[in-house]
Amino acid sequence: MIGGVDIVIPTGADRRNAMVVSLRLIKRIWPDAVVEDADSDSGDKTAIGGGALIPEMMTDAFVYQNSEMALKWDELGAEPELADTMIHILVRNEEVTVVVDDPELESAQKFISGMRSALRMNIFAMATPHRGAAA
Amino acid sequence: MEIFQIRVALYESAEDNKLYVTNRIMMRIMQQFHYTNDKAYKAISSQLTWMFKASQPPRPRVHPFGAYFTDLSIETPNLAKKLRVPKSKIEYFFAFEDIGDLASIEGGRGEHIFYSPDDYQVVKNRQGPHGERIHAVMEKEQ
Repeated sequence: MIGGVDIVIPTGADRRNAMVVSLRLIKRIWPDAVVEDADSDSGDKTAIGGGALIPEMMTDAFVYQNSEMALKWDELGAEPELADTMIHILVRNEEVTVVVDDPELESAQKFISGMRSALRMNIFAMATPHRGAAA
Repeated sequence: MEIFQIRVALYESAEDNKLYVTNRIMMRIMQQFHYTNDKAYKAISSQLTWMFKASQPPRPRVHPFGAYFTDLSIETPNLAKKLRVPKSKIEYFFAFEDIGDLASIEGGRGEHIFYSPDDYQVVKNRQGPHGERIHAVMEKEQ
């Protein structure tokens, strides 16, 4: 009653930024990717980028290779024929969990290594000093 | 005084209402669910004590050998995707009282997905609702 592989990546980024970084990385691998709020029952899928806003409070997301694959996931769930076409992202305090079918598959490998580099650098967690602050 | 009156009203109500209240209380206590297909459902539900067999989750073999459960209830949006199983594997469900003896998996999904490293038995007095999931969801909504 469980499928997929859970990869936990530590990060200093806050939840919102961790989600944005994750989606940006997926977009590089899957240019036509669409995202769905995992906790919503609306079934709505949104293209990443193009000015579309990601819901502020979204901490669990399904990201599909494209809208066609998203429809198949809606219909079938995690059937073997849909392997490597959806990534589940869960952002939590100080960690991001990435759920994939097989971390050895090419797109999953690219994404996970990109995530590890981006989130470990902690660039999104750095405080920005206010202008005029004392040196 | 008000609480007392409510209690009296409940106890004096018709037998159907008492059953309804009892079921509602049971549904709140039930915290763990096991989802499965038709064949496994028939095998498990035919026994007085439910026995959930530990097994190796599908390849790649990353998750521990075990019997898997979740506290995600029957009406959870995107349930099959969250568990990452085919929809046919969530057609039937068992609900039972959580006694806190299950381990959680690593990572974000560990908030809701649990396992027992061995076969897991649920005796009669811990057993709750069970059956076809879609029908149960429709009944709850009515």
